Amino acid sequence: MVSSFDWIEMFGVSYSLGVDGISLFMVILAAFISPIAILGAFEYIKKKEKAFYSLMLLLEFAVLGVFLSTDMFLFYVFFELTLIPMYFIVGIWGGDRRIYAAVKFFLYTSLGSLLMLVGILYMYTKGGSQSFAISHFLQIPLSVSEQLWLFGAFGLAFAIKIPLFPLHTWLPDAHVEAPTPGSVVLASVLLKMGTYGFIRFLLPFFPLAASAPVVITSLMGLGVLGILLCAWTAAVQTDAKKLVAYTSVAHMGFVVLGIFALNENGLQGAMIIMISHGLSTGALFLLLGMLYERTKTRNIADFGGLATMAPWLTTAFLISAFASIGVPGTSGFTGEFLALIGAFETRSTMAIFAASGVVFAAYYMLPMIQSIFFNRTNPEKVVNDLSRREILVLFPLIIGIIWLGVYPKPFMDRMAPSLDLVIETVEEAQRIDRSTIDAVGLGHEGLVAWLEPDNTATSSLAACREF
Amino acid sequence: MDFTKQWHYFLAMAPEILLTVFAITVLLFGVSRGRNGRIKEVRNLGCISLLGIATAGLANYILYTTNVSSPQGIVAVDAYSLVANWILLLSVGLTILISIPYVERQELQAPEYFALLLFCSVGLMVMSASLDLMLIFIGLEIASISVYALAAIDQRSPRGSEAGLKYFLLGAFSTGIFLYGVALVYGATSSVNLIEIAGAVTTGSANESMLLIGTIMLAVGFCFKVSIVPFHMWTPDVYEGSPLPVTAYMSVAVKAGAFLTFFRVFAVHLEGVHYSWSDVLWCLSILTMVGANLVALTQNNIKRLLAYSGIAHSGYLLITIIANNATSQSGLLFYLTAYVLGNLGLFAGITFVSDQSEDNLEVENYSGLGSNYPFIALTLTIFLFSLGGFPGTGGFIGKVLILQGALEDNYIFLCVALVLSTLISYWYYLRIAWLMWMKDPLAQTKDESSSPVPMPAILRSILIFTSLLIIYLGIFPSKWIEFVGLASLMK
Repeated sequence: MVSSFDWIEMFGVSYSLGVDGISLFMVILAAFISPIAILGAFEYIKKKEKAFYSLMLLLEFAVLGVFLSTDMFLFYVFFELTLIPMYFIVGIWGGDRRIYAAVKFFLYTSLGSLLMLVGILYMYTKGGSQSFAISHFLQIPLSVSEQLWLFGAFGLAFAIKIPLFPLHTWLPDAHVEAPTPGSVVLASVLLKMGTYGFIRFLLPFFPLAASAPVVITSLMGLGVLGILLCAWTAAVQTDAKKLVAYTSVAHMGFVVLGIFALNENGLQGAMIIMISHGLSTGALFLLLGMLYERTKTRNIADFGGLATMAPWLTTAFLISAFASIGVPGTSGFTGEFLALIGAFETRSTMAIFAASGVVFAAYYMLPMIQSIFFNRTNPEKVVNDLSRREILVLFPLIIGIIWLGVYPKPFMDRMAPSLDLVIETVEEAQRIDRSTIDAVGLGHEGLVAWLEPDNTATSSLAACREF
Repeated sequence: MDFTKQWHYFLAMAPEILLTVFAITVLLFGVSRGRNGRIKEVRNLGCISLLGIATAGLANYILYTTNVSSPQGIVAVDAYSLVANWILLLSVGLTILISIPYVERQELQAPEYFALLLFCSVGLMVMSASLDLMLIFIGLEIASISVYALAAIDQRSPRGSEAGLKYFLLGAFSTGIFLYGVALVYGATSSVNLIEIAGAVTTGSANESMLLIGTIMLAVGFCFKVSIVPFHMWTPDVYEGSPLPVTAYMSVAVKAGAFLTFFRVFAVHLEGVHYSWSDVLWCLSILTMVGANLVALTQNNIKRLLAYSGIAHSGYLLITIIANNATSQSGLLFYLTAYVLGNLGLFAGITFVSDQSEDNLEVENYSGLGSNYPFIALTLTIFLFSLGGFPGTGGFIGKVLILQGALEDNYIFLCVALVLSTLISYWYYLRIAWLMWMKDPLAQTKDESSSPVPMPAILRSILIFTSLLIIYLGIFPSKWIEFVGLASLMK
C-alpha cells in the first residue's frame, strides 16, 4: 500500500508513504504510545503547556513519517525532524542537567544522520540522479566495497539511534533528564527508528555487506557486549530511571542479535522485542514518573514497602518488569526466545552468551523491585495507589504485554511475509556471482514489487489488509 | 532586444542606472534639507531608497521577461546576472528596513548612509554581471569603498573607525593583489575579456605559467572578499566594530556579490585551467569549514560568532565553485538566497535585542528570550536552524544541492568535511537556541522585562517575512530550484 505525490519533481523526490508488515507494527506502536504518554503526564507538565503538546504532536508526526516514508529523501527529512521536538522536550521540561543531555542527544544523533545524508546522496547520484524512491534505490548496482562504505554510513546513523554499544552513552543522560512523556516516547518509539532502519534499509540495500561474516560477527558481538555490560551497569545503579534506561540498551542488543541472525526466527524475534520493549519500558517509565511525582525521588533506596500502600501500582510494575526480564507469559519472553533461537542457528556461541543476559536481567530487576515494593516501609514516603486516569493509561500497555506473551501468532503472521522478502533479498544477493554484480545489479524483484504504487497483489499487502 | 540601437545598451543596464539615480537623489535630498529634521527625515530617505530598489527590481523583472540576445560585450545580461540582481536587491532592501530604526536611534547621517548602501549594491550588481576583468575591478572598488565608509559611519564610535580603517588597509592590499592578477592574466592571454580569456585557455595559446600565477592571485583577491581562511582575519574585527545593520549588509550582500562573481570567473570562464586552482580551493575550503566552525565555538559576542559562522558558510559555498556543474550552480544561488534570508532575519532580531544600539551583544543576553518574547525567539530559532541546515528550512535544501553537486563530480571527501563541520556548527547555533528557551532571563534584564519593550513594527515584519520565506523554501523548494536552474551558465 503506497500512496505517492510529487514533492520536488526536479530531483525525483516524492511525498510517498507506504505500509507493510514491518512498518505496520511500528506505526501502530507509535500511534498507540504517543496518546498514552501524553495522557500519562497530564498533571506533571506545569509550564508552557501549549508548546509542550505541540512539540509532542510534532514528534509523533515525524516518527510516523519515518516509519511510513518510502522515499529516502522524505525519510531523511523525518528522521532529522524527530530531533528538534525531542531536543526542546528534554531541554525545556527536563531535570537539572537537561541542557547537557539535550545537546548531547542532538549532536550525537546528528553525527550519524549527517553521514547517512552523504550516503543517500551518493546512492542517488550512482543511480542516475533520477529518483529517491526506495524501490529505485533497491535496484542500484553497487560494488562490494561501495556497499561496505555505505553500510558504514547508514549503519552508524542507525546504530547511534538504537543505540548499539558502545554508542549508547547519550541514552542514559537523555532518559534520566527527560520529562516522563519524553522518556516514554524516546524509549518506546524513537529507539525503534534505528532497528527499523536496520531491517528496512541496511539489509536490503547492502545485502553483500550485511551478510559478510566479519560484519555479522562484529555487530552481533556488539549486541552481546551491550546485553552483558549494560546489565552489569544497570545492576549498580541507584537511580531507578537510569537503571531502566540501561535495560533499554540491553534489549536493543537482543534486537541486533536477532536481526543479524538473518533468518526468519531471528528477525521475527527482533520485531517482537521491538514491540515488547515499547510496551514494557514505556510502562516502566510511566510508573517511575508516577512514583516520582508522589515522592519527588527516584533513588531506589528511598522507597520501601509500597506493595501494602499501593497494590495496583505494584501489580502493574511487576508485570512490566517481568516483561522486561523476559519471564514466560509476557511479551519479552516471546521475543527474546525467538531471537535467541535465530541466533543459535547461525552463531551459537553468541547466543549462549546472550542467553546469560536474561539471567542478569533478573539479577538487576528483582532487587530493585524488592527494595521499592517489599522491604520495610519508609514512613516518610506515603504513596497513593493509581488514580483512575493512571489505570486507564497503564491498562492497554499491560494487555498488550500479556497478549504478545500468550498469543503472538496474529502479529507474527502479518510480519512474516515482509520479513521473508528481506531475507530472500539477502540470500539471493549471496548467490549471485560477485563478479557480475556491477553489470546486472542485485536481485530485489520481490521487494521492489510491493513498493510499486500500483502493485497491491503481493502477499504481504494482503496480510496487512486483513489485519 | 538585440542591441541594434544605442538605447538598448542603456536599457540593459537599467537596474544599475536607476539605483544610481536614486542614490544620488537620496544624497541631494539630504544635503538640501540640512541635518535637523530627524526622525521623519530618516523615514523619508529610507522610503526613497526602497522606492529605488523597487524600481530597479521592476527594471530587472522587465529585463528578465524580455528576450535579450546580448552581444559578447563587457557586461552580460543573462539570466544569471539577473538572478544575482534579485538576490542583491533583496538583501539591500531588507538591510535598509533593518537600518531605519537603527539610524533613527543612533542619529547617523541618514543621506550618506542610505546612499552608500545603494552605491555599494550598484557596485556588486555591476561586478556580478561583468564579463571583463577591468569592469569587475571597477565594481569591486565601488562596492568596497562604499563599505569602508559605511563601517566607519558612526563618527562617535572609535571601534567603528578602527573597523573602517582596518577593512580599508587590508581591502586595499587585497585589491592590489587582485589587480596584479588581472595584469598577469592579461599578459598571458592578451585580453581582459573573460570570453576571450576562456578561448585562449582552451586553445592553449596562453602563456601557462603566467596564467597560473595570475589565476591564483585573482583567487586570493576573491577569497579575501568572501573571507576564506586564511584571508579572513579582518572579518571578525570589522563585523564587531561596524554598526549592526552594516554588519548585516556585509555578511550577506558583499559576500553574495563576490561569490557570484567568483563563480562566474572561475567555474565558468577559467574552467579550462580547473586543474590548477581546484586543488588550492579544495584545501582552502576544508580549512575554512573546519577552522571557522571550531573558532566559532568559543565566541561570546554574537557579532563575532556570526562573523565566524559566515566564514564557515563561505567554506560551504566554495565547494560549488570547485565542483563547477549545473547542480552546484543551482546550489550556490539557492544557498545564497536561504543564507541572505536567514542571516538578515537573525540580524533583525539582534537589532531588537541590542535595542538598536551596540549594547547587549553578548550571547548571554539571549537568555530567557523565549519567556519574554516567544514570537521573536521562535523566529530566531527558525533562522538558526536554517543556518545550521536543518530539514524543513531553506538552508537544508541549499546544503543538499551543494552536496549533490559535489558528489556528481566525486568530491566525496569535501562532502564528508561539509557534514562534519556542519555538526560542529550545530553546537553554537543550538547554544543560542538553548539560552533563549531553556535558561531564565539574566537578573538585570529581568527588571526591565516587567514591561516588555515593544518591537518596532518594521523589525517585526522583517522577522515574519524572512521566516515564512525560509520555511517556504524548505518545504516547497521546487519553484525556486527550477528558477535558479534556468540561470545555468554551464554548457
